[in-house]
Amino acid sequence: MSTPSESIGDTAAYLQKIRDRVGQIIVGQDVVVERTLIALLTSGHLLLEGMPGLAKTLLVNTISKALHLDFRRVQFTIDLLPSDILGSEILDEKSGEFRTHKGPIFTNLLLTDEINRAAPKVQGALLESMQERKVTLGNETFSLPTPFLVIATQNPIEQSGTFELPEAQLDRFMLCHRLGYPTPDEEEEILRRNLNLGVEKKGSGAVARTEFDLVTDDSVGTPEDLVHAMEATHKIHVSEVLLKHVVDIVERTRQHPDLELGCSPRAGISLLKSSRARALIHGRDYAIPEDLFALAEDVCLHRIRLSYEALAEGKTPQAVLQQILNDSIS
Amino acid sequence: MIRSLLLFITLAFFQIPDLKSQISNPTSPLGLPTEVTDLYIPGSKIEVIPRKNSDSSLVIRILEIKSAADGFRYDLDIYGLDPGTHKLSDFLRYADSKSPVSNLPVTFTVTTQHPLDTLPKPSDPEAVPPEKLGGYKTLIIVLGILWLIILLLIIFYRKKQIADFTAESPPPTLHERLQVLVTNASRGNLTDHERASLERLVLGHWKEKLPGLENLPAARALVQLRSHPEASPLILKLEEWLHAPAPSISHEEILPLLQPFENSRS
Repeated sequence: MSTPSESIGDTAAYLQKIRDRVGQIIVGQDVVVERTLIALLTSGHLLLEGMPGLAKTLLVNTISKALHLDFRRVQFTIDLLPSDILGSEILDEKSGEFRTHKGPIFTNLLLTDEINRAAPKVQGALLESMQERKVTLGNETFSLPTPFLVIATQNPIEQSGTFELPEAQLDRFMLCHRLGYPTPDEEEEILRRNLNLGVEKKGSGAVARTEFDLVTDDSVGTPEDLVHAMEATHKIHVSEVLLKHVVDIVERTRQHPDLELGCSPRAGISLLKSSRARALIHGRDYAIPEDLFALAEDVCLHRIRLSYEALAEGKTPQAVLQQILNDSIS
Repeated sequence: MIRSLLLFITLAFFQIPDLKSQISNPTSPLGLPTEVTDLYIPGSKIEVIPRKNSDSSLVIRILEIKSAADGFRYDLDIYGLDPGTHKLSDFLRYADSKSPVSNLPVTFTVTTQHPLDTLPKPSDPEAVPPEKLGGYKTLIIVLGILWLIILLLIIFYRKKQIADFTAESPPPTLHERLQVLVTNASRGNLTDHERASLERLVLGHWKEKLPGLENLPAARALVQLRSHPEASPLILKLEEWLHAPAPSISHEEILPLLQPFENSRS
């Protein structure tokens, strides 16, 4: 067996430390941590779909602290304006000049909670900035800090008062992970940890501690380590055979009779990039089919759309994608 | 003399209406009915001569018969069918003797706006002999047989087509496709596309073969295959051979591992 290079091993160990650090605070979201790291290493963006109370904010907060990155959180509501995220120019009464006020988007990790609750123009403004990594305020264009990662959450679209993201905007998210509830064992561990949180005294009073109080400012490694990890991701070998596998999967989504909209070329690129990052996280210097198949659902599912006939027959996008993946190895 | 004169006057008074009715010749437009009242005809009762064909120029209907001296007065309804002047006596006869009424000078004139003898006469319809009648039962039987023959032809033709199609291009099974690729691999002439197919088919083979993996999602099945004691040796080496930048396993080393697929049967 070929052994991965030393630098790959070091990077994998660094990434494992981050996962361990997050694991100390959060129970049973290892896959989400892995997906977040993949998005971070490949400069993609992550969309998390699931119910409230699954420690999404805590997760992103913990990762940002572990990586020594700046973190902001924006709760999307119906009355949110693009300037509330991007920033605006404010007239300074003392000097009589316009002063630029940068919005919360100027950060490394931006958690946008319930992105589908905001009006389409706000979604559009955010997604445009995600793509271009630049924001124009007045006559001046500002580059966003690096690394820049948006982790958006959205409720299931059936819920009322939501604006469903169109396919073109969903395509901007490299990964869309569907969060599940923890297993009974994990749930038990969450409760056990919560019981031991205790109370924090502040001045003459006290307040019950939360999981956020467990997040320390100690970072794992340095910002340079993260840059090295991003560089290492781009050095992960991708064989010609793996490229054929990616093309096969993408092509099958386009040819499938139950799908009205198959995967875009951007989906193929995302699949390949994320497979590289996953290979690095798992300590390999080359990507393998397992990486592709493990990430196929998160990369492809939000990019495909069922035909009316398939919807009428009661089929689901998940089932169709699973059928495509199973067919590709038979 | 006076007596004779009175008798003459009395007779003349009584005879005037009769004479009037006998002398006045009614007229009527073509096709319209005309009622002639109090037409005195001496003798026994008369009747209308029945029409034997459609050539009759007048159609006469007796509406009422009233008694009169030495005869009867008749109210008649007359339709003129031919323009011209027609003698009523030609259409009437005595009911008892069936002899024609000869002492009736009254004529019936049928008028028309058009000059006489210029109206077209309806032509006699030509008798068209009916086409072949009957034979429906035979026709139905023949058509039924034809329908059955065509139906049987369609069924047998399609069956033959399907049989030909399946005989011509039976879809190759996973193992057959695998055999071809392994044979090509042993000759050392696999393209990248064939290598990718080989890897996918090997994964598919084990997913199909190992119990409990068939219904698993592909991603989870692959994770299990990579750690399965039976499947993992080949899968891990194949992965390295196909994907590693500098594989430690050579083409010659991988061939013996693939050899069982070359001789396997589905």
